[in-house]
Amino acid sequence: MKTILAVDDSPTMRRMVIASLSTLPKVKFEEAGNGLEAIERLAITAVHLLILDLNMPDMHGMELLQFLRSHPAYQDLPVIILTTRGDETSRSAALAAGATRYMTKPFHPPELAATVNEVLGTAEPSA
Amino acid sequence: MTTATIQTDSDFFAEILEDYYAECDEHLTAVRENLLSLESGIGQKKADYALVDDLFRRFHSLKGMSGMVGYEEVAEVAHHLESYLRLLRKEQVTLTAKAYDGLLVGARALEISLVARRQQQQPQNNDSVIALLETMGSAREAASAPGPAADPMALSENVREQLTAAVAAGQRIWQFEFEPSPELAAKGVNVNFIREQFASIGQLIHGAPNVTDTGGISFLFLVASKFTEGQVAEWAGSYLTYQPYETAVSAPPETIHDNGRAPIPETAIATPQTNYVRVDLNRLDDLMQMVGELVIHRARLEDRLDGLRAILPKNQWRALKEINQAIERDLRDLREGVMRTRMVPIGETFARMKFVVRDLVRQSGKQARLEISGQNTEIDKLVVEKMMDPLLHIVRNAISHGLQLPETRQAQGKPAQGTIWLRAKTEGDVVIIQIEDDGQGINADKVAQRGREAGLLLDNEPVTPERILDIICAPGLSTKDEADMAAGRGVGMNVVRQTVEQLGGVMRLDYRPGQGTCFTIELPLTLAIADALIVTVSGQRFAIPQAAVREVLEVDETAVTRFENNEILRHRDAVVPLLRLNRAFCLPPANGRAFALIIGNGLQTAGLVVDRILGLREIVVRAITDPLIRVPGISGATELGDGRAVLILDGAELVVMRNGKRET
Amino acid sequence: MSDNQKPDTYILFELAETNYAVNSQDVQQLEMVDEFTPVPNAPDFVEGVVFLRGQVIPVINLRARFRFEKRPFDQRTRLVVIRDTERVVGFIVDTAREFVTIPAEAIQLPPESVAGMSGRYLDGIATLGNRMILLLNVAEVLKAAEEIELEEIEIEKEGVVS
Repeated sequence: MKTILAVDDSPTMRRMVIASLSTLPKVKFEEAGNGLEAIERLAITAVHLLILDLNMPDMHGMELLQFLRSHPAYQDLPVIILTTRGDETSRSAALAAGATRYMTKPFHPPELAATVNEVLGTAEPSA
Repeated sequence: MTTATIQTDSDFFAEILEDYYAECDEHLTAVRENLLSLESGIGQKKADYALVDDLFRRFHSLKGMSGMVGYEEVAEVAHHLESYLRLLRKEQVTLTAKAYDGLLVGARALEISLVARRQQQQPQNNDSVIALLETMGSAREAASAPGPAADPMALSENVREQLTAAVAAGQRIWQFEFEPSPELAAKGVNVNFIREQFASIGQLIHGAPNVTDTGGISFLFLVASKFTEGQVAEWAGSYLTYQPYETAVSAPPETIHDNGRAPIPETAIATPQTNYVRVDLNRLDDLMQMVGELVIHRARLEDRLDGLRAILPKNQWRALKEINQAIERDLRDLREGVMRTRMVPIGETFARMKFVVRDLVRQSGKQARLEISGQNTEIDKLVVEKMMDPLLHIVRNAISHGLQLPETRQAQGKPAQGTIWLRAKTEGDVVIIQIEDDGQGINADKVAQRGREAGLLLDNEPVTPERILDIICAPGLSTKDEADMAAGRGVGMNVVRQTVEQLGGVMRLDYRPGQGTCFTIELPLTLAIADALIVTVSGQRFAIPQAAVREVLEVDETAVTRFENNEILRHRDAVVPLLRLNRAFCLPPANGRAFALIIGNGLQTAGLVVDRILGLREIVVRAITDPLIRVPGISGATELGDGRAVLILDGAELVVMRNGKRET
Repeated sequence: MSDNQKPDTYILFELAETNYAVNSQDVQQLEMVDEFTPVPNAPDFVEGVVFLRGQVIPVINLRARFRFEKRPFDQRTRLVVIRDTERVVGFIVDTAREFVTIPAEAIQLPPESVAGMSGRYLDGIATLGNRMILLLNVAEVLKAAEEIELEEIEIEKEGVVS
């Protein structure tokens, strides 16, 4: 069982992410509405993948990412950035800071599911 | 590969649509408020950062969500609004009156587009709105990712400014550290909880994650507070460690105040400890439900007491009776007390009217100002929610049909600008809301004529404001032409009146030709609200308070044992006597499935048999007072939005009824 | 004005080809007849309840109340909403269209021959042109209605016991 943490300040967006991934086998979900809450979740539960929004109040997704990469325990934690910012600067900045994948909203649910599968190295999408 | 059974992404999210609309509503409500507050920032070099930032985020969220459900016309407008707010936030542009209007138009377009989507109409065409927003420079988007520093306590310019201001205001800055753990999280002590707690001692200025010496995770917070060290120590308890936060800004040189303002004296600063707590409405509902249960238990106690009258010595029985009555009074007070905690000020609702007035004035070529008084008047939250649309309707009417054009007004010797007064006040246990305008009043002759045609006014009957109100609130009175609209104030008034009356209120009308119109709405301060199951018995709907129902089960007719006039259902090693409501109420039996609502305890247990359970609803309970309709087993009535009365079942009394029958 | 300070204006209604009048002061409003919610175990002349101005009020079928034959409601059927001190009650009548002034001089006391049970319901009889109008005593109709209800309940109880 793999745990995916969806981080977004919009509850509807979190539900959309989870709904998109609900067909994946052997995954469960955790949610966080802001950066600090996300870090707390990481500190107290085992998380295998972070799906992270960039534009959030208080703590920007990039700050969260940089914090994780500076911490030995989270250096290798896969992080998929999911953002409305489609410009090249943001994309390359995020990848340079250590994002595993960079996807833009609106996203297609099957595409997100495929990316998550790939990153987690779980079963082939077809069964 | 998997076969794609889902055609579009929006189908995929069909289940989430309701959440989507709810969150959009939430954002739009805040956007409306923030935009009103932003108006004072027109022409200022530096707009209120917190306000602009909040607006930015809300447009951002609206854009993201709307893109996901494929509502491009919403996403695009939100995108342009977001872009403009980004410029504003970075202080790359100054807010002009024109740009402000653009923001209003954009926000309005979002609202209209969402309504259209919700009602499954043709998507709105927002090309012209987008073109307008583009002229404000929203397309000129600066695309730079933020470059945050690696040091968790490295402070942004904005945070520094806040710290300086707090110190200047005589507060101290404290640094708190919180270390999360699964044990604390299980107790509900998590980072969000901690963050909320800071409001009780001061203002949280900055929060950041931190790596402890042992490699663990903690959170650091900077909080500005008036608390002394001793108070902070006491407050922090065992979850938080703290230390004073000393920086260059902590001891501001006096020159900071040389902008002409003297340092604010100690006493002028409101203490950060307010007398308010924020409570989740669900918790209040839970409390209310418990109170409801207490009321039922007390009624049962009274029943039992009455049964003991013959057995107990008179003075003892009377003493018990008195205690019982004291409990009854206390319960009434308790109920009232809980109801009062549900009250919110009406100000927010009134503020929204400002927005409507602005909007309508813009469209209609009329001039109007809104005079508001009594915005601190408190009213039940449910009432506020339900009254929003009716108030909007009346205000809209006042501008569209009440106020005349500026030229007309001046010709009549009135100021060109019309006034609409919105007033609220509490009188005894009633809240009075008034909406008055100084427009043309109501053309009573014309309305009366229509009333007569519709058979609502008798031949020769005098035309009173009361009758005029009856006529303009009559359902289905069509409006044929513009003059009629002005005379009759259009359709929709019937909905206004229905809502007011649903809430147990009354409406009054005053008007003077050429002088103005005034609607007065009186609403009860508190409502008897309960969660109730809506059920049907032989096709008729009934409501039963959820608190009275212990369990609902489908009746398996093979598990029913009959003897004489009794029916008993076996259920979980126990037997439950059944009371078929169609029989008790002399209604024809219905075929098909049946459900039993288990009520009462112990020997007083019974299963009320109904045909269908339609759902759970929040109902406003109305008493049945007239002796002609006070029948056993019915405690009151309610209305579910269609104007029809639905009777409320009295569980305890029905059990007594059943037992009474058994004994005969 | 009569001595009880009521105005001399009345609402006229028809019931079984007879004209009745109620004092305009006792009438709260007139309504088209809509659906009622039946109340189980209420007296048979009570059609049900209706939500009106935020109140739950009983609706009395006046034909049933006066032991006339019931008939289906139509376009002309009206609900006359009566306010009698604290109570608000609706009467279903065949039709109501007129608001008239009846001077005190035009009103006579009901003749002895209609005294007794039905005489109690009348304040008087008036002649207006060639029409005869029965002036209804609302309080008595409501009071008697309750008494009948009580009687019926008594009968029911006795029935159960025997």
